[in-house]
Amino acid sequence: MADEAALKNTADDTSMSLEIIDIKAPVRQYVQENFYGASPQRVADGTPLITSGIIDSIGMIGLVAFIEERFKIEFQPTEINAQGLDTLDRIEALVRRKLEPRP
Amino acid sequence: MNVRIASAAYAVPPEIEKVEAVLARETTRVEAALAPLTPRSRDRAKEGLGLDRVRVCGAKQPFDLALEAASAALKEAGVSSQHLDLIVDYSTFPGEDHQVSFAHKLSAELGAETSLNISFKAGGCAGLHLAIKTAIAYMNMDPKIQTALLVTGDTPPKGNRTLLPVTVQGDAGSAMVLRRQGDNPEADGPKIEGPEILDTRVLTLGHLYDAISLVRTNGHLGIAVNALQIEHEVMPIYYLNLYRLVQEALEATSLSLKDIDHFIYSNISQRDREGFGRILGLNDTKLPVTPMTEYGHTFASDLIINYVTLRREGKIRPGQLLLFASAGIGFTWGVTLARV
Repeated sequence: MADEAALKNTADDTSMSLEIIDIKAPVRQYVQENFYGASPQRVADGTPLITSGIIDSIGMIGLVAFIEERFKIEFQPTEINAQGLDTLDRIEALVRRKLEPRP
Repeated sequence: MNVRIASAAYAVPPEIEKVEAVLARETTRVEAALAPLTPRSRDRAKEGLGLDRVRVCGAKQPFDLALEAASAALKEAGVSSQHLDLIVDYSTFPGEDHQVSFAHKLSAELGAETSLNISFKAGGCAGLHLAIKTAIAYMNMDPKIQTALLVTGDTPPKGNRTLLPVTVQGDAGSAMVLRRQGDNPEADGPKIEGPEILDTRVLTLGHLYDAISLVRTNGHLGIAVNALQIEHEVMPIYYLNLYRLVQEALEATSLSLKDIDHFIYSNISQRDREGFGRILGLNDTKLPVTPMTEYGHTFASDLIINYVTLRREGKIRPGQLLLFASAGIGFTWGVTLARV
């Protein structure tokens, strides 16, 4: 239930301030559903997803598409790399940077 | 601008070597390249190659192969060398002893006295897209440039045929003739036959320049493969960038994946071809068997070999859509869309 509530708090609501948009919850749910299957293991904020092989090169396509769609952002090719998207912590930092209004 | 693939041809040397023998001969190189990887990744690097034999240069060197392919392509297109306006050489590994631009030497050998000759060494297996883009740019800038010959001829430095965890390289040369149809067909002569290029897209990421690179050690040229960089930096975005370029090309031409009749992709390895098929949801008929077991991975010539093979088998028919895709050192990704 907590995750469901968090899922609503995304960039879909443009009136919401950046501070309270929950980025990790929907990404965590996406990763959990698509790459952990029935495993009871939970994705931690610092779990390496790409360098550990949990998400492979083909899985990256879905992950990036999900993030772009969910948060209405578009990554440039240079912004997408294993380091920047390896953990939920880093994904959150990257997405927040993309969502920040430009001066 | 209406630019068509008027013809394409390839040439391979007659000498054959088994991939198994190459791997055995280059064991030290393979082990050194794979040493930084985990045991699981090391095992995986040798699996699913799908390559059985490679052609290796002996009496014929890459330039000879490029010349043979160029002559055949010009003949098929019905273009006399005197009417060749541009030669683009995009060979990645033209041979240790070959320091002269293939384009200039081809111009001399073919008798293309007035052709503009350029060479670049970038793109690896995706070099064909860069060459097409370059030729079209020249055609756009200069209306006198109507016919372009794109060539590549490649052989790795001695003892560097294995590029694990990626592939094993075979030698080949290939050529493609592009012709521009004038705006006024009545004034500009008969309609040019061949697939019309609808879109070409290339992406380069320079920070990955040394994932696979040429190095000189003790005076000997070699290909250095940074397996860790490939695993951690290249592979996570490898299919993603291909996928995105395919989508961009389709969007730009108001087409969709289901419109494409033939996907013409590299022969890097069977597992790589399966990966490409998976990202686009392709079945075996759309990503057919290629001569990869016989030739190995021939860098940018792969796409020409696979295109020519499809044509020889009579599978390419008028009205069909072709999507050429490949990725290579640089690092470079490329997609070209054409309608027959």
